[in-house]
Amino acid sequence: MTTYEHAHERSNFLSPNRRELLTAVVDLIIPPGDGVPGASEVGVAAHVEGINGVAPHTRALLANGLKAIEAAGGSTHSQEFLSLSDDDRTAVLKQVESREPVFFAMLVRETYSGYYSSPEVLRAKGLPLSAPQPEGYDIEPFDASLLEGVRKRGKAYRDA
Amino acid sequence: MSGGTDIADILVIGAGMSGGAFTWSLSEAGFQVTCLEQGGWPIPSRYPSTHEDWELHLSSDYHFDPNVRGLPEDYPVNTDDSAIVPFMYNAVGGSAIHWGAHFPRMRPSDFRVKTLDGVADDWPLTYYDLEPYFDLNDRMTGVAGLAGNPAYPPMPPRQTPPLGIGKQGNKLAEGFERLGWHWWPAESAINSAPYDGRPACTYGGPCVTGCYVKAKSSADVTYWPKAIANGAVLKTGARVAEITVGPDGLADGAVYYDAQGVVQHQKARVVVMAANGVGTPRLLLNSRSALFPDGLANGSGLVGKNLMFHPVAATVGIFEDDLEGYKGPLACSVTSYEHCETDRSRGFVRGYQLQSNRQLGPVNTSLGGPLERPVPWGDSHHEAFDARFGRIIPIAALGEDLPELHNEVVLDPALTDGHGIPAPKVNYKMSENSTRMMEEAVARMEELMEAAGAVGTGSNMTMRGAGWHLLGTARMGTDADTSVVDGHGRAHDVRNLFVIDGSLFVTSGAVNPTSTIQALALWVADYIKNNSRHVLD
Repeated sequence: MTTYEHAHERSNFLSPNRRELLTAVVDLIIPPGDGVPGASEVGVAAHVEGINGVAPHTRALLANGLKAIEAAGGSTHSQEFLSLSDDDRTAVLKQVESREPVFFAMLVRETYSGYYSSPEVLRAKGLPLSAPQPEGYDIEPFDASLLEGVRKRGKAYRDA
Repeated sequence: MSGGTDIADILVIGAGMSGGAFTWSLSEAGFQVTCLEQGGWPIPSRYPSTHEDWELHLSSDYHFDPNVRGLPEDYPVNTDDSAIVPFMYNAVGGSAIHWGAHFPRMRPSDFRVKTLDGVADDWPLTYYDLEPYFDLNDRMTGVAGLAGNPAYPPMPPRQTPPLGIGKQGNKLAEGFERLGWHWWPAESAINSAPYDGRPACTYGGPCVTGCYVKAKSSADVTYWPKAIANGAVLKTGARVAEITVGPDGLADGAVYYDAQGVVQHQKARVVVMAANGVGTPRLLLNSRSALFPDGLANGSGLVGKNLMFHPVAATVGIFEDDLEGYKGPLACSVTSYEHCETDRSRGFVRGYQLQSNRQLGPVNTSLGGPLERPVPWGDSHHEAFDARFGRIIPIAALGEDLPELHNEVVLDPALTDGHGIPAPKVNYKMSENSTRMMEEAVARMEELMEAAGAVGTGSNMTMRGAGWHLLGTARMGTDADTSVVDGHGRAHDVRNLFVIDGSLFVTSGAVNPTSTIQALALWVADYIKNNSRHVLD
C-alpha cells in the first residue's frame, strides 16, 4: 500500500459537516483548472483528514483550524460558510491564513502533497508518473569543451 | 547488565561514512574492530525512490529531520533555539543514505584561516597532509568528476567521468561564462559509469530518498561489505548510552541497549567516536563519572562547543524553456568556487561555494523547494505551478561558518530518546559574518540567473532546513586548553579515545564535508596502525 492510500485508510475523526467544510476549503486552495481536477475531486480532503488523524495534537490542529474558518465567516456553523460566494470564501480563508499561520501552513502543505501525489493529477498535467528509480532518464554526457573559458582564466585557489 | 566476554581491539561508535572508512582501514590491517550502530541495514527495496508516492515519504518516514521522522532508531533533538535544523539519518551508511553525494575536498586555504585571514584557528594539519587520504578515499568511493579543476591543486584522474549536467546545467554554464566566473562540473560520489562492482547512475533523481541502483557511494555499499569481509563485527540496533572508563582514566568500552532492549557492555582497548557532530558530543557529555564530572574528554570545556553548520542561501531562477529539471541526481550538477576566498571589500571574511541543484518532483515544486515558501494557493495556483515545474534552476550558496563558543550542542534537561538517554539540544545563531556573506551570495546568485536568461527569480536568505553538515563540536588542536583532540583525533584527556567524524573540524570550509570527514577518518586510522603498541596498551 502506498503512503497516499495509507493516509486514506487512517481513522476519520471529523463530523460530516466539518468534512464538507474541509472539502470546500481544499477546492479554494487548488480549484479545478483547464482540464485539471480541483483538489476535492481527487480525494485531497480525505488525505488531509487522514494525515492529521494519527495523533491528538494534529487532530486538534485541523479541528480548531476548521472552527476558525467557521468563526471568521461570522458564523458558528460550517453550513453558513458554505452558503458564501467563492470570493467571500476566499476572503475568509485569507483572514485565517494570517490569524492561524500554523494551521494554514499545514493545510496548504497537505493539500499540495495530496494533490500532487494523485496519479489522476499527474496524468492530467502531463507530469512524470512512474517511480524515478530504477529506470531513470537519459541525460547527455558532459561536454568538456564548455570548460575552455574556465581553463583559460586559470588558477582559482589560494595555496597554503 | 550482561558483560560480554569479548574485548575488541577497537570499538567504533557509529556505522556512517567515517565509521565505515575507519573500520575498513583497521580491519584491512588485521585489527579486530567492533562497531555499534543504533540504526539497521538499509533495505533498498523499501527506498521511496522506487515507489510512485516517493515524494510523500520526504515529509514523513524519510524526512531529513529526525524529529519529524521519529523512527525508533532516531533520537530527538531540541531545536527551539537554533536558526538551522540539524539533519541526520540513523542506519549503516549513516546520513549518506539521504545524502545528495556532493564530494568536494576542502581546499588548501580552508586549513589555514588564522594565518591567512586572522580569524578562528588553523588546523593542526594541512591539505597536503590529507592529500594521500583524499586520494585513497576517492578510489574506495568512486568519484564522478573531472581532474584539472583550477580551483584545486592538481588531482589524479577521477574514477568515472562527470555526471551529465542536463539542460539546466548547460543553461547555467552560459551564465557563468557571460560573467567570467569560475565553474566546474560537481565532484560526486555517484558512479557515472560502472565502478567497483556497482552500476552507473540511471539519472532517476531523488538520491535523497535512498539510491536503489547503488550508484551512490554511501558507506553501506562501499566500505562496509569490505570491512565485514575482513572480519569486522557490525552490531546494528545497538544504541550506545555512554562510554565507560576504568579506574586508570582510560576508556574501556561502551554501555549500549541491544536490538532487544537489553543493556550490554562492550569492552574495548580503544574507543572511537563516529556518531556525527551532534551525536558524538551528546555521548561524551553523557559519559560522566567521578573522574570526568563534566563529560568525557571535556577538560577544555569545549565538547559540544563551536558547532558549525554551513549556512545556506538559495535562489531559484525561473526560465521559459522546459529544462527537465527533475531528471538527474538532485544535488550534483555544476559548482562554482568564484566566491570562496576572502575579499574584505565584500564586508566579510572567507566565502561561499555555489552549487546548482536539480529539481525534485511535483510535490516539492508546489512546496517551493529550497525557497521554503509554497507557490500561491487559489486562482493563480495552476499558472504559478506550471511556470515552475521543470522550468526552474535552483542554486545554493554554502557559506563557510566560523566557530563561535555560543553555538553548541548540550544535553537537554528533559528530552530523552526511546531508551531514556538524554537527548541533545542545539543552540545556534547565525553570525554577523555569515549573515553578510549570505546577503552578498543572494545578490550574486540573482545576477547569475539573469545572466543565464531567467525570466524571474526568488531567493531565501537563510534556509532553516539546512543542517546537513554537523561540524566542530570536538575540535582538533595542539593545545589541550583550546581543543578536545589532537591532530590525530586523539582526546587530549584520554589517550585511548579518538574522534573521527565531523566533530573534528576546526573550521568548516565552504564545501560539503563528507570527503574531508572520510579522509580524516583514514588519517586517524593510519596513526593508530602506526602507533598501535602505544595506543592499544
